Amino acid sequence: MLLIHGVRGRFLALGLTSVLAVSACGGGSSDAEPVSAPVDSAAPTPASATSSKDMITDYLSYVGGKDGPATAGAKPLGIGWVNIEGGSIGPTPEATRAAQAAVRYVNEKLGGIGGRPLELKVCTITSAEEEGQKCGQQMLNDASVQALAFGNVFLGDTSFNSVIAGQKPLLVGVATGASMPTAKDAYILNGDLTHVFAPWGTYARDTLHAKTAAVIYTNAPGDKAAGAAVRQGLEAAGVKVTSVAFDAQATDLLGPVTAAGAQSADLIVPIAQGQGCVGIAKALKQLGNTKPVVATPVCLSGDVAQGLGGDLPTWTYGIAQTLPTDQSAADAKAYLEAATASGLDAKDAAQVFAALAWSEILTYAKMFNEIGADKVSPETVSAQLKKFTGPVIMGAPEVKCGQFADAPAVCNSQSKFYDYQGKGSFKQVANWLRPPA
Amino acid sequence: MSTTLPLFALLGLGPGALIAGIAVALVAGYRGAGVINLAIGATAMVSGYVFWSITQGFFGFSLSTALALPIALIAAMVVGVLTEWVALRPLRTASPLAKMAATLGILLTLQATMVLVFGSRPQAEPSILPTGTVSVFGVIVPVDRFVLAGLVVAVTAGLAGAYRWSRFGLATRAAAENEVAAVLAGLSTNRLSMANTLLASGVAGLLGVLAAPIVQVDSITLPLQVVPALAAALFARFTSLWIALFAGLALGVLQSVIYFLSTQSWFPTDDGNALPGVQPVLVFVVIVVALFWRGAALPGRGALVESRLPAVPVPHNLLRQALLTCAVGAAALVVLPYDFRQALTNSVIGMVIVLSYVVITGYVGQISVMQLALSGTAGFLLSRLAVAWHVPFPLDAALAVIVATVLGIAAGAAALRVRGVSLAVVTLAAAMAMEQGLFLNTSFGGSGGVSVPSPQVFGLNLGPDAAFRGMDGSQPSPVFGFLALAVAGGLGIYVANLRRTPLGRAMLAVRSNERAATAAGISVRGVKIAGIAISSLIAGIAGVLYGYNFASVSSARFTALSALALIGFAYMGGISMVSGSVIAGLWSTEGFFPHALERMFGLKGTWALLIGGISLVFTLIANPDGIAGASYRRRQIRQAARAARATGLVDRALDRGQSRADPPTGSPPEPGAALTVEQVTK
Repeated sequence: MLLIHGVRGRFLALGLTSVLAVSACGGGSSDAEPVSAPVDSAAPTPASATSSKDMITDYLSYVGGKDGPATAGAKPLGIGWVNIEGGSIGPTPEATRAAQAAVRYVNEKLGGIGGRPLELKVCTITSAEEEGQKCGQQMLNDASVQALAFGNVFLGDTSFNSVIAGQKPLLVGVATGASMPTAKDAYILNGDLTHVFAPWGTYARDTLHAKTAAVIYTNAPGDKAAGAAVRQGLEAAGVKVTSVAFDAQATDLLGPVTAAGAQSADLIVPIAQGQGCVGIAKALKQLGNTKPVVATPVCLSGDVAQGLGGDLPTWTYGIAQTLPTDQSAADAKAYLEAATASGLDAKDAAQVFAALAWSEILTYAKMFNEIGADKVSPETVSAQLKKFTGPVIMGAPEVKCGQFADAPAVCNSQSKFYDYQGKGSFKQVANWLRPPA
Repeated sequence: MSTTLPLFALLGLGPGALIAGIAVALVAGYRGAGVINLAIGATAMVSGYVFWSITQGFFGFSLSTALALPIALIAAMVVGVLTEWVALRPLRTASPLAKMAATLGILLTLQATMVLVFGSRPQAEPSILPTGTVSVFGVIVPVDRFVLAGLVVAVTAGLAGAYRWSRFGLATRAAAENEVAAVLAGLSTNRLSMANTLLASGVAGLLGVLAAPIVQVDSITLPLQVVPALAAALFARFTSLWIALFAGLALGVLQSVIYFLSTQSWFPTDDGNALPGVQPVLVFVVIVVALFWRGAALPGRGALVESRLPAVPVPHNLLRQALLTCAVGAAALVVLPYDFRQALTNSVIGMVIVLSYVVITGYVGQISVMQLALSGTAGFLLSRLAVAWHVPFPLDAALAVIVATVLGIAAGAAALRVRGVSLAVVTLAAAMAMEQGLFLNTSFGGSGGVSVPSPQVFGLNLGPDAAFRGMDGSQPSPVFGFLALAVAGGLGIYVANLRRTPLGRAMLAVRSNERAATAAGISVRGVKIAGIAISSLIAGIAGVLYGYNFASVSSARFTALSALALIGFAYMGGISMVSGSVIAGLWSTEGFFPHALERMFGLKGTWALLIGGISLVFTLIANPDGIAGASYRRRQIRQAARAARATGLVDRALDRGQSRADPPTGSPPEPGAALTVEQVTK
């Protein structure tokens, strides 16, 4: 209660804010443009095009379950779920609600796991590193928990991973915790804060034909690493980069934006959290910017929309999944239908971390079914995850875990790009792109 | 380059104006009440939220800007009145640290209240400033920055004029210079304090509305602006509004220029990026320069009632109490379920870091905010030594602690001339510089945290993952709890015993009056260095324990503002007593009591923060010596009453525990000394 150290998170808001997609700005994207191919078809680095067959729309066949409910009274299989919520720093409770809906969906529609239902064991973090440790101990000491999954955990991940230390497998959609890429026995299916930035160079070079870029990033653990990664990605594509860091508590971002050369660069890349995204968007608006801005989905946040008066910045977003609001995408449509049918509120379902949570639980259902309900254990799940090469629900068509020596947990380095056109409307401008050749 | 630097200087006017405005409000508040109000930025936040909510229809109705602006200002002033009534006036006789801790409690309370009422999302406040742009040196610059800076200058000029030429200003200056003389002249210091608090709140409230073009309304941004504003106010010695204004503007300008310089090829880099933390280092340097140039001490007020630091009683039955406490703790570590076991271990480590405050603040009277940063330094060093250089335990831990101690001594020696609240400000800036410049630097700390292996002696694992798992067989192992308990117990005995040694007595002498101590032949410099060394050593040990506890170290664990909260709650527990550190430890983050409350009532998150903030304020008011000090006082009064009964001199007032007379430092009231007189001049 009397938090000697617990106010840290509240004061500094170190973590990434919630990624709430477009629900805060008026609902879904029914008016979204049809999915298009990459704008520049002459792109020398081939995009990993997602054909409709790669898109997962039939969950029953994907997880290998049986139509109908799980066997009543059967012993459940536990999945440990950790998320940040209940406090004021970027809470994403919709991720937990989506994970619970996915568990309900598996138990009611996909026959459970060989008849045995899934059970979600939830532990939440509000504001302190100690809570990550507590969640780790709770999950480690609960013998019914066979595998672990993260929502949006950007705080407490270091101590959590120290406790778990690879004793139970951990599945993550988008890793927002800075320690995640090197966590033992962790599998980041969509992307982390660094490796998904390499394709940004491809996009900048081949689609935008950019020669110079202004990168503005927060001097906070995750963003600092991301800032370095995006700079490397752009430079690898021959784009000259000027990058400037600003402190998390900085107010007016006109200075860093100008110092990065935003008024003359071909491309502007903000790497920031909710408030930083707002500050950069305000500064760019005040400067009358017309240059393309490519941002992370972290700026696709209700916080950002609210901070800017109700709508998100009309930027391009590089993202390692299909946007749930892109209803022209068959996989997004299938997800929204199934999730809402399982009791998930439509506004929650439209949010990015909800879709990731849904994907994670169903991926586990697939793993468990492949192993066999009676053989599910942390060891067998871990072995199954190691073999997993995709496709990922609303994610990349193929993934390869352990491909990066410096980040063994990261399984994907491909990104899609969407233009946000305002009022909840997104248009895909590049399908799955790989790092520059 | 010839036009670039002036351009960036102009771009710094916006944030500079915000810093300057809050610095001016800080100075105005200090002039009136003699208190450094850490909640002044939060007052601006309240005003911003109110303005936003009633212009945007949050409560179901909307008002025009002309109506909303005065309402927002009134809201800020209401916060000021409440701050004065609830926290400042009841603590007028308390130490400056107690007052500052109370304003920290107000800050936490306001933050939590705003989040509970308006939600955690930042809100876009409508700007009332003109939105045009001008071209400066070929670059587009919004005019609202210039207007904002101009308005802050105008407000400062108005305030300066009022203080210079009005009767109110004259009275305020009189009270600020000599409170006793002001009272003798018929001035009401309470009314003056209230009036100045209202003025300061009004300025902050105005900023909360005017700052809309450069900030959004949230529970973090505006409250945090108090940190650079403290630097500017310190430059002004909390006296000169004009110096505070120009120092604040200069800070904004310098920060902006650094943004430009960081893009230059010669600028030092870290992992390919510009070296982090240059701006907080700059703030720190500004403060140090200010202290050397303007003098180390803040102006005294010739206070009507001399404020005092909490009593430092001589411990009795030290070994017995320590052994008993450790025995109970050890048994609890074995018997309790794993979650309470971890909570108890967290509490024990929390106790150790608070022990460092007992020495540096409780004994020596120096308010240092950088103890937690020293802990972080030791933690990161431990990781480097153990993982990168394979130095075995306990040599790695010892080296990490020694280096942190040396760093603490070096920083402390540089600030030997500084004391009191000035030292708190300079060490806060130092802590922020270490956090940003050291812990986030990949060559020392790291972005994603660094690992720490479990301590092992002759193959025996002493870490949280040791084989022995207590009665429930779960992790964490009680073994690490035993280790932490042994360390904490040993340090507790040492610190308590220190009070009885010549060095401890010399520390108390220095704390009471440095000149008198010097006259008595005590080396003030030597005593301060000794205090800094001991407290740094303890902080380093706490950092090493943190590292082993989490098996990792991350920068998020050792932030400067966490340190502020730490010192506030250490004061609440009883910053001058080892028992106070035990109480503070039990209430620490994920410590024993918070965990029990969470398990019993599900209390965590923003509600917990709200209750924490309110508790901090009211505990300080009820017990300016902290919980442990109040408990000690009650015990002494009971003993005195029993002694008086035995001698036939029964004093029922004492028996009822109504006396607030201070016992002589460390010694119980003499039996029979029943009559006390206090505050007769009020």
